[in-house]
Amino acid sequence: MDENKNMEFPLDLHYHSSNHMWAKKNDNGEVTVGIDALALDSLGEIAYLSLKEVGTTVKKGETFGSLESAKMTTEIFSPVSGVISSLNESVEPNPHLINEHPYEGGWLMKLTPTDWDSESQSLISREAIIEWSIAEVKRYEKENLFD
Amino acid sequence: MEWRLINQEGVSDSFGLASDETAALRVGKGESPPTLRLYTYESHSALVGRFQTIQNELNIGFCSENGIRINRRPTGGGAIIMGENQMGVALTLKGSKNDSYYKARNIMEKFSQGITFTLKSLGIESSFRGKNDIEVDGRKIAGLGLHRTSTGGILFHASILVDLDIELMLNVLKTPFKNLNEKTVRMVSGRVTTLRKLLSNDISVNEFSSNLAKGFSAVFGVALVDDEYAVEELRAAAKLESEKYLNSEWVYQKSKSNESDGTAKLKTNGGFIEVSVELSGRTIKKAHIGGDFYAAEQALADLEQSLYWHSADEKKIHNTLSRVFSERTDELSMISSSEIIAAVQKAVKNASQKSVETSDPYGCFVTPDAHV
Repeated sequence: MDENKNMEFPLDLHYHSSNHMWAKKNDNGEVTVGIDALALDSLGEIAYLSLKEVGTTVKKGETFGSLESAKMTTEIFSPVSGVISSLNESVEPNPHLINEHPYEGGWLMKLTPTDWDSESQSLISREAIIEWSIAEVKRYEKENLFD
Repeated sequence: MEWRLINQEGVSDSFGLASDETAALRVGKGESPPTLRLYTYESHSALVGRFQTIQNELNIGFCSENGIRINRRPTGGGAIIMGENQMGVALTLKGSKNDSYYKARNIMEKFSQGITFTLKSLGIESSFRGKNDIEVDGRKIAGLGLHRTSTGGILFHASILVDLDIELMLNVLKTPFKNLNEKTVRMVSGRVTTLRKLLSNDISVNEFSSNLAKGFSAVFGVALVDDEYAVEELRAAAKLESEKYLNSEWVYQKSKSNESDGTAKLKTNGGFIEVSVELSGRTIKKAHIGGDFYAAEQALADLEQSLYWHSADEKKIHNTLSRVFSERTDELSMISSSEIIAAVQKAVKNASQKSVETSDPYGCFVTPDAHV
């Protein structure tokens, strides 16, 4: 596990390079999805969360829910395409779990992927995570929200 | 760089909200230009934040009996009342294409500068504080909100009090006050201020709107061009209004978050301390610190604000309140930091143990007086 400015980016996950969602392919073929530490650091404490229902088909980059954090309301975007197979029933009533345990108890949904082999190629994974995460932290410190 | 400027008076809340979201969605896709909309709504509407539960925030019966319309913003924060004397600001910009969350913690302050700069040009010193407030001498004058759309468009919302009927607001919003009387109105008046009160004149909404346009233009370094929505934007807004902002499924939706409240009372050498908090999950949504101890009201307001949207974790509460105490040593010298911290932690613990279906939160512009 790499640690970057007190932000962890576990090396066994895949990361969407721009929307900062993580994805993990499980042994049963399902993909677990959550929000990474850098996005959570920027958003602040999450107080409200609303997720789409099990059975909903989501496409990579499209919204599967929304949240209200200390700083903003925002849609949340799926890092890969698939059909939602289950939701983390703990996080909607207790969204703080996302901030406290982003990679474990704070996961958001599991989905049955429809194009994992292809889509996961465009996600950041393995040794590339270290260089990418360091660069991302620097980028967040320098750049603005809007063009 | 140019932004479009749209001025609107007395529009309906449903149209206004739909047109803002439409503009934000379209600007995210590059289909509409960056737009600053300055507006008032038809008197009166009560608007709750994106995830608030209306039954907890508004006196629905009073609203219904008095023709006050109810709606839900796409932006977060607390419930507000809008009408002919509350100036609305909606700024829609295209988000940076590479990111979803860039510096969200700083961007609200940047947007707020359009308002603080304008107030300064009128001789009013104001500042951005906490999650989403602009205050003048500790009294709230504006509430802010930020929403990122699915297309990457950004919507900044602000409501600025040109004037305010406090009694009406207290009837519309659910408050912690048992009785609505002169003392209650006076208490709330001490926590809220308006442009007309500060300027001691009847500045018109139109005049202020003109000042705001100049303020945003100066702060962001853009030229503003008077314009109106295009036909295709109006068509899209009308569709969204019908499907969302006139749809009770959106307006009356309920949050799935565990909401609870708790209080704690503590007798100390410096006096009696009473703390109340409201939680959503393990996030503190609101805190009130009162009692009969002596402390500068501004310092107590800072303590309360530091807890707004803060983690309920005991250690984090300790660290945050200790920091505020260290910055306000003189004004809080009559009360012990450890006792205030203990009271807040106790209130949070009580709230955590008490999961209630309906809480009784304060409205956006309503915080009880620091001195009880």
